Amino acid sequence: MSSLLTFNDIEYLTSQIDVNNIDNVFNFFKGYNIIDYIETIKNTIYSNNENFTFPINTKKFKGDLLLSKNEFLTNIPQKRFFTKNIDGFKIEIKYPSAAISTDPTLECIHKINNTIITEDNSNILNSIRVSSYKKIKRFVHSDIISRLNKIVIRDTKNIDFREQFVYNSTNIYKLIFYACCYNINYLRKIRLILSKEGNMGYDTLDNITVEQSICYYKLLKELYDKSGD
Amino acid sequence: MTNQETSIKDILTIINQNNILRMQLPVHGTEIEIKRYSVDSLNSINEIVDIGTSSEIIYEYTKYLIDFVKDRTTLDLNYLDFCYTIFYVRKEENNIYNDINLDEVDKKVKGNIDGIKTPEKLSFQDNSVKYNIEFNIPKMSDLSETIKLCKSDTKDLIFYNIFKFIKSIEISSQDKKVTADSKEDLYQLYDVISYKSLEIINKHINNLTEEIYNTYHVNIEADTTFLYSI
Repeated sequence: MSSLLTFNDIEYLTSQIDVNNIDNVFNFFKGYNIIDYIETIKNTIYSNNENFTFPINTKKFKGDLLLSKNEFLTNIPQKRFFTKNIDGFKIEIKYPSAAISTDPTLECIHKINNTIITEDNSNILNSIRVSSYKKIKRFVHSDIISRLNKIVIRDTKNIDFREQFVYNSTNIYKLIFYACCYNINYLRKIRLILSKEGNMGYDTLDNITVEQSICYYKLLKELYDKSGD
Repeated sequence: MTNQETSIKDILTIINQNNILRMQLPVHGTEIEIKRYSVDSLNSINEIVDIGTSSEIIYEYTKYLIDFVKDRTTLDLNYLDFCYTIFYVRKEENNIYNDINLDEVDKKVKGNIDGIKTPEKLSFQDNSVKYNIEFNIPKMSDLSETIKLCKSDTKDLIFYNIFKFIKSIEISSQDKKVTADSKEDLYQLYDVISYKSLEIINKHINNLTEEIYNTYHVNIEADTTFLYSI
């Protein structure tokens, strides 16, 4: 499901981040698997740019770090299912969703004996006995969460700037800041100008990224500046 | 009915069949079938341990344990069987607790329980008030009745822990004599009883609580980690 975040997505998310509404940000990504979420952020960032500028402000260094696609969000594990036979049941386990739930272990259970677990039938999970649940939990930690914890956010040669990903809500939330790095008023100004002068409605902005919209905005500005001359 | 709905029903049936335990009650003597310890019960404990104060946790946990056993058997179990049910369900999910092998403990439970006797009648005088107290090993219905009278404060938890073992208290002062034998009357009496008297009663039942602890090697009602940390 990994895709790109559109102008509308980024504008909405930025507006929620602006008012510190974390729940709405997580709700937006509710249907996203953690791998899709990370790949979507990466794809969005590099959709129109070769490099991503990362501001650094430490005692040793103050400036911008230019990160190529091979240096940002690396070691992302391949999305897959894991099959385990536990206490006579064939359990298919998946990566958790981007929105951390109250029980990530149960959330990772995709199928029991070929029956897909959905929100409607999740009561099945309540009947699992605790010893089986603990076995699944151990597996989720040792084989799934540990793979996620090998993701590197900033994979720089310089150890000082290197940053490891850890699977928790703080780190997951932090990643969205990399994609939503625009000023909300700037995004609103672009929407206003593109809709007024470029005839771009909501639907159009639902199909292009912020970087693409900025290109259109600059193009329009250039045209207007020329006509003014 | 769709295929998915059929398989959900099938899986629930298989899970529930797998979740049946057979155990012999050490006091009652009968063999009963009970439901295993499953995720829904664990979720309830997770909610309890997230509650603020420790007295609230103990209060909610006590109620939870009564419901936990009630949910598994309709028998009005004796307190020792009640503790054993919790012990057994826990042991079947994980037989190690704090480095204690619960299977080894289980082998000695029956023998230890046979040696547990109801405390003898206690008579003492506190100033001008004479007390004659009879004890019993409560049934689950007594536990339910006792906890229903309690709130979550420490004072009420002390009442639960001591008075669940009390059958009746006869108080006499000068020429007046009164007997409290319902849980409501005992609760009213607890409110006016002196600390010194309470201490005497508590010391008298200490033997019993120690014997119960030594039988299971865990304080079943007070140690929330027993069911929580599997």
